[in-house]
Amino acid sequence: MVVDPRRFGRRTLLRGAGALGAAAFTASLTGCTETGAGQGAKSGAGTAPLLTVASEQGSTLARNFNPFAASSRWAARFCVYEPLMIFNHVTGALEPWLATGFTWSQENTVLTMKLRDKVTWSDGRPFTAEDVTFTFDLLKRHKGLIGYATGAVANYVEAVRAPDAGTVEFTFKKAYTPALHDIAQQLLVPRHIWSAVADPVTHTNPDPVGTGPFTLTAFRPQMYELRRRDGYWQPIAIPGLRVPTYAGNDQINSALVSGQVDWGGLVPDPDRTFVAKDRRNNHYWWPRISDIFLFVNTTKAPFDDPAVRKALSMALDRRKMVDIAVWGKSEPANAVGIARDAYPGWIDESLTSAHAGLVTRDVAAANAALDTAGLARGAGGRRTGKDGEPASFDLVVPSGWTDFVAVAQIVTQNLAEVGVTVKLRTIGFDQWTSAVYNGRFDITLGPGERGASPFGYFRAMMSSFTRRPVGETSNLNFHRLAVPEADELLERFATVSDAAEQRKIGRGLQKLFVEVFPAVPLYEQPEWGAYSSRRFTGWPDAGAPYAPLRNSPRFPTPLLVYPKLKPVA
Amino acid sequence: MRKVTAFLRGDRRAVAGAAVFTLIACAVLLAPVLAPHTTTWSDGGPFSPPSADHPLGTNGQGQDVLSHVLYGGRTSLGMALVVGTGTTVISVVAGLVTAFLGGVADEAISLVVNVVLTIPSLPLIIVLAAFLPPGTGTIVLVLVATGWAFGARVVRSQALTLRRRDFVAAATVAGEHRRRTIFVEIMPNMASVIAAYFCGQVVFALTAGSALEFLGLGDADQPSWGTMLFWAQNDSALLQGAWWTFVAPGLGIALTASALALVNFAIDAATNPRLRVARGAAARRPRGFRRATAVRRG
Amino acid sequence: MSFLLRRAAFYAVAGFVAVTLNFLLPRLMPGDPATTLFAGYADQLGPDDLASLKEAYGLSDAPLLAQYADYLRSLLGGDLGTSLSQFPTPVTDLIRDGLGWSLLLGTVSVLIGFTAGTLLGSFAAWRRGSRFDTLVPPLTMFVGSFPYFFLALLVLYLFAVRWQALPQGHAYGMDVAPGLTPEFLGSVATHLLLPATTVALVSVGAWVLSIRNTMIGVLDEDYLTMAEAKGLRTWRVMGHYAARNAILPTVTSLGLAVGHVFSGQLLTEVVFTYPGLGNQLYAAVTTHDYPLMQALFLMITISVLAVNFAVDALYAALDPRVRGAATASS
Repeated sequence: MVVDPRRFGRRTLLRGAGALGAAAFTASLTGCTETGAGQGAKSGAGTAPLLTVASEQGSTLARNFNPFAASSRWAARFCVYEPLMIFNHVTGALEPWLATGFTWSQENTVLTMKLRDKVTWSDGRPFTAEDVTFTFDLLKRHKGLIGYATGAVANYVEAVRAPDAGTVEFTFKKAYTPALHDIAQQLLVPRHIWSAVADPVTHTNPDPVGTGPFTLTAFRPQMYELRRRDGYWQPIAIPGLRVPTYAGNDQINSALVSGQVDWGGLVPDPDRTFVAKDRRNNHYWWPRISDIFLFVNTTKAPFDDPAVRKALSMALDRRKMVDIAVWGKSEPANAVGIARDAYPGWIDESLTSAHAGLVTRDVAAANAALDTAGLARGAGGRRTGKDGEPASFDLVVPSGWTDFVAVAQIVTQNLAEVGVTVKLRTIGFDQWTSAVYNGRFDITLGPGERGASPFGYFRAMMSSFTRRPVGETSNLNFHRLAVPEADELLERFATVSDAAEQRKIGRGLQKLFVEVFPAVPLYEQPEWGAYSSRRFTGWPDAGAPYAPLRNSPRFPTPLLVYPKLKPVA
Repeated sequence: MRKVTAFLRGDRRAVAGAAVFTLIACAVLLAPVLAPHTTTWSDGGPFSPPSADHPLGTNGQGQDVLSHVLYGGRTSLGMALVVGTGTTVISVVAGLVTAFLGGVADEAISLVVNVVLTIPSLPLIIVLAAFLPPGTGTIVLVLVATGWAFGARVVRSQALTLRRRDFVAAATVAGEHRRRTIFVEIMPNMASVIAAYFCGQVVFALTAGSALEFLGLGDADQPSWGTMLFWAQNDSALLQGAWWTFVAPGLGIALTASALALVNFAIDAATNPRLRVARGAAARRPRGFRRATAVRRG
Repeated sequence: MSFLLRRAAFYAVAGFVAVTLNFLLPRLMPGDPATTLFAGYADQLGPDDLASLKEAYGLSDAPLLAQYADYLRSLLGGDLGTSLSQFPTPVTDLIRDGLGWSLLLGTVSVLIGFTAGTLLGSFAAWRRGSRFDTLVPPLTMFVGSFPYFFLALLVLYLFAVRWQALPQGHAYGMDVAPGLTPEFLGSVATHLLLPATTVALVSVGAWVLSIRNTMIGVLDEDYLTMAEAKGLRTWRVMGHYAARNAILPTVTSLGLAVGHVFSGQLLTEVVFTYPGLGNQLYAAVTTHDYPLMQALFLMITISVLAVNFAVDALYAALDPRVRGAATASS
C-alpha cells in the first residue's frame, strides 16, 4: 500500500485533492488565477494557444528539472524525458515508446529491448543504447536517485549492456520478470550531458535536454512554458504546454471552471461544480485502478484471525462510503481487492461472485461470525476479547484527510452496530506514517499498491518480502501479514514471463487472498482527471479509453495523450 | 475590583461587550439543546444554502453549520479561556516576582521576557505547532508557552510604580509581611490591569488558536471555529459561493473578540484618566494597555 | 550611542536564542520527517531502498553537539540547508524571492495602516467626545478584532470571487513578464491591493487608539493650550504641534507593531496566496519541509529584529533624551 505523495499537503489532499499533484512534495503553493486575463494560453509568439495544464502547486516554482529528484518540476517527469515503454493502466498494455519491443531469454534472466530508430535528444544528438546503459549505471552508482527502476536496479539487475546501438540487454541476478515494468518505465537521460554532472542527486538540471515532444522555452517562478520541438520521433499537433502554478484546489478549480485550464485533476463533486458550468466542453473521466482498504494490525488479537477480519468486513456499509468519499462516482470493492479497471482480464470473476458475501453488508452474518470467532457479547452488547476483557480498538487516520475521516466514521458506526468498539483518532500525518509504518496501530485506512501488474499488489498484501517485524519500517505491508503459499506463488510468478501463465498464478493469489483476507477491501478509488474541449480535442475518456486521463499519475502516461490531442480550429 | 464592576455598569460599551460575550458563551454552552444536529450528522450533499432546516446551511460534508458553530464554539472558547487563564497566572506570578525580588532574578526573567517578546510570536507558534502532534492540546501548550511574556512585563512595571506609592510604602513601614503587601495592597490595585490583560489574552488566544487551526495545525476533525474555516478553505467553499461556511465561524471569532475588546476598551478608558494624573509614567504605561488590548493578535 | 550599543547587544542575544531554538526544535520533537518524505514512493522502493535514500538526502543522525557546531558553521557561511520539498534546491534560493514580496507587502500595509490610523486617531482626539470619536475608534477596533485570515477570506470572496474585480492571488499576472515595465508594475499593484488593505484594515484600529490616547495626553499640555490661546489656526495646532509630539511615542510601538503586522501578514499571504515568506512557511508546514521551515523562521525573526533595531535608532534620532540614557522601552 502506497501513500500517495499527492496527499501530503493537508490542504491539497482533502478528498484526494491529489489529483493535482505531481507536485508531490512540491506542494508549496500559490495561485495565479488571473481574473479575466490570460484566457488560457496567450502564447508569446501568439498564434495557436498552448495547452494549459494544472499540475503544479506552489507559491514559487524552483527551476528543478532533475528527473531523479523527489520534487522536480512536473514537466521533467511527464513531458521532457521519456521511458522505454509506458504501462497503460486503462488498456493493460505496455505501450512501445523509445523501445519498440522486448524479449525475455529462455530462463527469463535476460531482458532484451529493441530501441526505436531515429530518436533524437532535443539538442539534436541521436539517442542510442549508450544513453540507456548510462542511465541505469547512474542509478546504480548513486543511491539517492529516485526512478521507477531504483528498486529493481538495487535488488535484481546484475548488468546492463548494449550489444549494438539499437539494443539493450538487462541481465538479472535471478529470474525476476516483474522488473520489466520498472525498467521499461525508467526515464532516460542523455549520456553526453549527464556524464558531466558532478552529483546527479543534487543537480537541479535547469535546462533539461530530453527525447520528449517539448522543450522548455520560458521559466518564471509562477509559470513555465514548453513548446513543440523539431525532430520529435512522432507527429505532435499541439504547439506546446503552459504550466502555471496554483495555490491549491480552490485556485485550480476556479481556473478550470472559468475555462483557463485545459487539463486538470480532481474537481470535487464534478457534475455540479464543473460539468454543469459548461456541459458542451467540461468533462471528467474517473477510471478506477486501485482500492481503499481497511487495514487491521494482524500481529494483535483478535485481528490475527482471518474469521474476525471477514466478519468485520461483512458489517461495513460500502455504498455509503462511496457516496460520501467520492460523490457516489465509484463502486464498492470486490472480494479480491482489485479494482475493476485495473489489470483488465486478471480478476477471477467466478471467485469474486462466489465470495461477494465477504464484501456485502450483512449485520446478522457479521454478528454470527463474530460469535463463532469467540468474541462474545458482554455488558451493553459490547463484545469482549477471547480473554473475556472488553475489546476496544483505535482507528487512526491522518487528520484532515476528509475522505478517510468520513469513511472512518462510517466504519466506527458500522462496527458499533455489531458490538465492536472502535475509537476514531485523527493524528498528524507524520505520526500516522510513523505509527502505521512501524506496526504500532490497531486499525487504519489506506490505498492498495498499484503497480503495473497484480504482482506488486499481492506482494505488498501477503509476502514475507514486504513484511517486517513490529518496530521495523515497512512501507508496503502495514498489516504485517505474510503467508508461505503467497511467497511460493510470487516466486513462481517472478520467474515466468508468459502472460497466460502469470494470470494463472494470479488466480491462485486471488484465491489465497479471499482465504487469508489480509486486509478488508472497501471501495474503488478513482483516478481523477478533468478536461475542457474548448481549445483542444482528442482527450481520453469513457468513449475513447486509450490512456488514463490523470495528468500526474505515477506513470508517465501523459506522454500517451499529447500525440492524440488536436487544437480546435 | 469595585471600581471595575462599577464602571462596567456605567459604560455602555462595556455593557454591550459583556452582554454579547455572555450571549455567545450561553449559546455555546447550550449547544446540546440548541444545535439541530450532532457534529457528525450529514445529509451527504455538500453546501446547501441557509434554509429552515439548516439556518446556517451545510458545509462541504453536508453537515449542519449551525451545529458546528455551536459545538465548535465550545472548543474555541474553552481553548481561549484556558490559554487566557494560564498566561495571566504565569504573567502575574512572573511579573510580581521580578518586581519584588529584584536583583539577578529580575534581570534574568526580564531578559527572557524581552527576548520572547522580540521574537515574532506567530511564526514561532506555527513552527512549534508544526513540530508537535497536531491537536487542541498542542495549541494550548504553545500559546501559553509563548503568550505570557508580555503580561509579565506589564505586571512588573505596574507593580514597580505601585510599590513607590505611599500606601504601599506605609504598609511596608507598618511592618506588613511582604506577601501580604503583594496580595492585599498591590494585587487589588492591579485588578483592572490584570482584567484588561486577561481579556486581551483571551482574544489573542482565540484568534491565534483559530489561525493555527485554519492552517491545519489543529485537530482538523474536532469541530471548532478555526477548523471550520480550515474546512471551508479546503472544500473550496469560496469558489462554490458557500459564503455561509466561513462567514458563520469567522463572525463567531470576530464577535467574541470584539465583545471582549469593547470590555477592554472600556477598562482602558476608565483607567486612563487615573493614569494621566501620574505624569511621567504616562508615556510608559498606556502603551502597556494598548498592547494588551489592541496590538496582540494572531 | 551607548543606548544603541545596548540595544544591539540585546538583539544579538535575542538572535542567538532564536538560532538555538531553531536548531533544537526539530531535534527534540517526535516524528520522523524522513520516512514521511519518502512515503509517496513506496511502490518503487522497498524498505531497504528507503534507508539508503535517507542517507543520500543527508537525514542521518550524528551527536547533537557536533550537529550544532555544523549548523552554526554553515549558518555563518550563509548556508541554510537544502529544501526537502523542493530537493535539491537550496533553501536560500527559495527564500530570496519570498523575502522581497513580504517586505513589499509589509511596508505598504504598515504605511497604509499607520497613515490612516494617525489621521483618524488625531482627529478623534481633537474632537474628543464627538460622534466621530465615539464611533470611529470602536469601529476600527471592531474590524481590528477580526482575525486576519477571516477578513482576508471575506475580502477575497467579495472582491475576487463574487465581483471578480481584483485578482484572487499571487503577486503579479501569470502572463506578465517581470521587468520594469508599466504592465508589470501595474500588475504588481493590483495584486498588492487586496492583501495590503486587509492587513492595514486589521491594524488600523491599534494605530487609531494609540495615536488618540497619546494625542489626548499631548493636547492637555500647556504649550498647546497656549498655542490655541494665541489664536493659531486649528489645523496648524493639530498638525504641527499636537500630532508631531503624539507621534514620537507611537514610533516605538511601530517597531513592536511591525512584528505583529508581520505575523498577521503571514496569514493574509496564505489566503491570498501571495508568494511571501508567510506563504512559504505555510507550504513548508504542509509539506513537512523542516529545513525550509527553520530557515523561514530564522529569516522572519532576524527581519523583525532588524526592523526593531532600526526603529530604536530612529527613536534615538528623534528623541534626544534617550540617547545615552537608559531605555524607556524595556
